[in-house]
Amino acid sequence: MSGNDTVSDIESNWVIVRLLDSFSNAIYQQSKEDNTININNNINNEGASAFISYWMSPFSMMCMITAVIMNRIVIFASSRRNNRLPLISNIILRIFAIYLLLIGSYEIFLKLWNYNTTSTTDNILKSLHLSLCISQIFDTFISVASGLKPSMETGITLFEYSLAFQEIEKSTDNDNSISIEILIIAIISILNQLNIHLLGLFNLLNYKLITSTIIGLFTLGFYSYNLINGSISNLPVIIIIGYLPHFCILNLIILSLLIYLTTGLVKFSFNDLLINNLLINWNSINISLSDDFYTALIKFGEFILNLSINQCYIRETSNIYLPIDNFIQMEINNMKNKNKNKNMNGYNNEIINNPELMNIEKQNDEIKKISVFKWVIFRRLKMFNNVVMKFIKLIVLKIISIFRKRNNNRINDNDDNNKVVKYRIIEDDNGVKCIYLDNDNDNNDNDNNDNDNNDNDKLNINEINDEDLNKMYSQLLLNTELPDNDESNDYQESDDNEDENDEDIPTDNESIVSDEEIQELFTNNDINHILTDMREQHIMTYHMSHEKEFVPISQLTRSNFSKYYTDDMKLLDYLIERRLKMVNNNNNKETFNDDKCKEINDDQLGICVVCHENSRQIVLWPCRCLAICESCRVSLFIREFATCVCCRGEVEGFSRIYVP
Amino acid sequence: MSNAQKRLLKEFKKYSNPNNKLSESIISLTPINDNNLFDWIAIINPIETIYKKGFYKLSIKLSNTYPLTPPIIKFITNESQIDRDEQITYQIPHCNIDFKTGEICLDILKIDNWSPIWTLEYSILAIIYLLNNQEPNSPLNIDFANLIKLNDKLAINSIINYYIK
Repeated sequence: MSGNDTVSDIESNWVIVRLLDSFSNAIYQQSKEDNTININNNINNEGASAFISYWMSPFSMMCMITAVIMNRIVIFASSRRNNRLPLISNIILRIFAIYLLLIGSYEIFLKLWNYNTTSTTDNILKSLHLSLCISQIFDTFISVASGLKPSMETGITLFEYSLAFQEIEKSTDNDNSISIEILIIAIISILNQLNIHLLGLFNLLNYKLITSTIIGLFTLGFYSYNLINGSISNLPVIIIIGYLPHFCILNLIILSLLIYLTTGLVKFSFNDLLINNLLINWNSINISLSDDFYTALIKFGEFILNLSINQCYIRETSNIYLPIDNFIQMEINNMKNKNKNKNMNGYNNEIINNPELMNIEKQNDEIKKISVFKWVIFRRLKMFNNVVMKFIKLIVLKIISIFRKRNNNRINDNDDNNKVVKYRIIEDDNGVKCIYLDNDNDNNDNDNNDNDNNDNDKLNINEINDEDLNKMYSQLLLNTELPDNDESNDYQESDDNEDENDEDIPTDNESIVSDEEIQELFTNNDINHILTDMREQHIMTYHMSHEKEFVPISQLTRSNFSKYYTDDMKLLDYLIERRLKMVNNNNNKETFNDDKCKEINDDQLGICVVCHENSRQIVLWPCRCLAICESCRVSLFIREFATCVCCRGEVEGFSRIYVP
Repeated sequence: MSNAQKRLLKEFKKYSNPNNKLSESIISLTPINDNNLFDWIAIINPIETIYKKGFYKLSIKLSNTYPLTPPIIKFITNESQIDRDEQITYQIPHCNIDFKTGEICLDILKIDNWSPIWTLEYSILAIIYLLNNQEPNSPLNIDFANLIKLNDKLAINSIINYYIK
């Protein structure tokens, strides 16, 4: 050892380090020689030589070795269970990683500080890439050892960085200088790693989205600045390609937000716009704070595109039809469409969830199934592909619709919307309060007139003025007072109930009596007592159930509990809460017996259109009519009805829903 | 109480409630007597159709499977002399209505096209709709269907008004 020391003072004391050093030197030499040979002999073209030189470069070696190490770490970790890294070693490892990162990037900062002075740039990128690799290995180790998902790759993967650095290395072989853009890119990569480690140090990885958004926005801003400036060509090709999708999606998001804003300003209200829905149903975007910026960006972009393609369709499928009264119009329209296919009876085919929702869930599951350690590039490309396809679809749809409008003057602007969403449920604090037609009555009338005219092919709507239209309409329907019926939609239920109260019919009496009997059994206080501490009950049961298992005593934390406290339980609790509220309301008004009955029935969506007795429980797919009750569904199935009783659409299946 | 009876009771309550107006064309819609909910009578005055001057009587017979099977609705054409109401017109010339028996040919009152969401009121409204939209291609009254095909409005109106008192 002492002999070696005398030979060269650059080499270190340890044999392994020396070995590695000489190995890397050999690789480096090899790559250079390879280059020169190829260029001299003109055997291969440029691309092939670049390809070979990449595989021979130290960057690719680092990348491959890192990949192998990380793979081993994960595999070893997966064979162990109940692994938990002590806090102190977590901190030490993180700090060490940060230290290494700072050392690796020190020269970059130095270079940035006095940019104009010429200095050797040989090892800057290599040490940077080495520190990136090591930091990722550390991160993987720490997170795997503490049972978490590794939180690496943000935007550009290590592999892409290695490609980019190799490209820079090759291009700077001659003039020996690095452009300032590349330095900034390098610093961004360092910042990303530092971000992860710092957050991990303070155990804040769940809020990664915030910091990574800041860095990501800065990156994309820098990217677009370069793009506008024309200095984009200074960046390596890989970096340009890598950030392009994110850049496009960000622009898309900004564009659509701008459109929403302008429409909001023009209409002077945001109530009708879908963006309002988006704000209410924020959860459905499926972005959590622990996501990293680029994943969140793609998800958000996809969501917005979805929103604009299927205008009425958000994941909650807010538009369940609630046909109440004027089905004679629909019926008359549908009388001509005779059903030809009678394959299978949908009234006996229960579908647990909305078919479209199930598709989305399936997709989500597929995404989850793909292991984290597969190439992120691949997954991201897939997602990006999705986004692009949807974007194209959107554009094509818009173009088609424009053409249609031009060709067919008779179609109103509102026509599409009217057909899709006819009813809407307004929700109050007290629950579902009233149901109203989405369109004005006049509008609706005109539409129907349109349809009739189209069917007859006798009348051209452009030749008739509005008054005639109205006359025609009334003639068509033979003055059956349909407009009246429309207007009374909202009040139909309450009218019914008043009837019930006015007359003493045995059934009503029975129901009232049974209510009272129930109230005798449970006093209000009892119910209150049972129900108010529902959450605490859940907490207790959770705690108890976990002590039974032989898990090392885990503390009852909020995050653990929130995992246990599933959406189903939340829904159940919500329903109970609603019932409780109703009971309270009724008790307050107990002196007025009539009001009480009215109160109960007002909250319902309406009664089953077949038996006029039970509440509506069955949603039919794919027409989404919520009109019948369970017992009527059974009798319809027995009678072999194949079409929806309301809209005459084909019935593929049904779902039960329970309205609180 | 069977499902059909429950449903008919509900409908009866609805129609007999003075607050809940029926369509102007329907003068009355009630069971024949209070003990039997399966036998109804409706009197219509189809204003804004070519039959607007007449009052017509319809008999509605329901089965025990009612909302799932259609009601049997006929125009009353041969009322006995004792029950005869002077205001009512017992002859209706219409190409889809049998002149002698009062039978109505309307697809939605056939079992294949019937939908349980239809109430008695809407069935009657559908018949009123039929009055103005005659289908001469599937006639029960062939002579009148020929007039409709020829589109001889004067003749059509004259025949209708001839029977109306």
